Amino acid sequence: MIDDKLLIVQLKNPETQEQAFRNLISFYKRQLYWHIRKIVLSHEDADDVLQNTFIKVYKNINSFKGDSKLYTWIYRIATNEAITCINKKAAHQNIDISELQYKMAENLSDDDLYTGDEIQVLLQKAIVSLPQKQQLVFNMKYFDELKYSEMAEILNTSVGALKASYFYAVKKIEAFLKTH
Amino acid sequence: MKKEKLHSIAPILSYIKKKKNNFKTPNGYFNTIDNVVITKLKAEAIQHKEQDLIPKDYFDSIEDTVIAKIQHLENTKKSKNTLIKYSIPIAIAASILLIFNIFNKTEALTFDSIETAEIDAWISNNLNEIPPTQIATIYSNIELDYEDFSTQLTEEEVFDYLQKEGLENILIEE
Repeated sequence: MIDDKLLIVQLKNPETQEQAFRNLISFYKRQLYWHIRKIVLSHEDADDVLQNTFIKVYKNINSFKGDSKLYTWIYRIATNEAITCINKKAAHQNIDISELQYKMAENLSDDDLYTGDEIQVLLQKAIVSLPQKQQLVFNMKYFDELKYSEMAEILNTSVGALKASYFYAVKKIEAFLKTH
Repeated sequence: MKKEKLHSIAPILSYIKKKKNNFKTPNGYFNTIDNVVITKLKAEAIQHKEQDLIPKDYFDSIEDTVIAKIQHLENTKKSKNTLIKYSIPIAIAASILLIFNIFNKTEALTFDSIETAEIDAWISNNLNEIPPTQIATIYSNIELDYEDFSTQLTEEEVFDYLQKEGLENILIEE
């Protein structure tokens, strides 16, 4: 378990900054990567977003006030960067975000770095049919298994709203899977 | 939501959740990402240092500066081409006019306007091209002294001369 307070002090000190930053990357890279990957689906995009996330953390560490956990702060940055990536892609292709996400889910079968079967691909299509925030809630709970309290900090939403959102997401996806 | 609850309200989702993670990464990806990020940050830091050495907003205006310079060069080139385009014909016309003026004097050219010395000089230089009979015709009033002909001609030379002048027929007839 990493000591948040010590790490923050080391990150803000120019003499220890680089090593502290390496420690931070080492500790959070996998968790952040898989969170990002579930949103953007492709490895290339996930790699870009992950790098951008760490760079943003490094550049803004001095503005981190410590009113939330370091982890939730980083997670929030990663989430926003992933959403920005999708939005930019949709704008570049001049299509709706939902249309882009559906295309991305459909292309999973052709992705060498995806080994899911038919029903797992169908699940991805079901997830992208949800509103964007509900997608995030579902991914964080179903795949990342975050606590509602952590999700509340990351998404700046109450625990109750998150529980309700997740419940409805599960119902919708189950119905989608049954009908397809 | 606990697993049991998930299974009760969404059995398909519960089934899928037990499957392993189906997203993969390239081999060794997580071993290299640290260095990739650090290198990127250092490269950005160097780039910022270099940018401090150039004027602010330099790269924002460079396109306009270059285009303006290109347009100025093209306008200069156009002016030069225009000058060349019109100066050559003007020069040619001036040369022709000069030549025309030199060889086409305003006063009418008459025999009297030519200096005697000029006539003598011309005759001396072109004597070989003037047929002798023509000279004889022109200077018919000049009587030649036979003593001027000091050269003794052979019969053959005389005959060659007559043949040349087409007079051999006259001899034969006679």
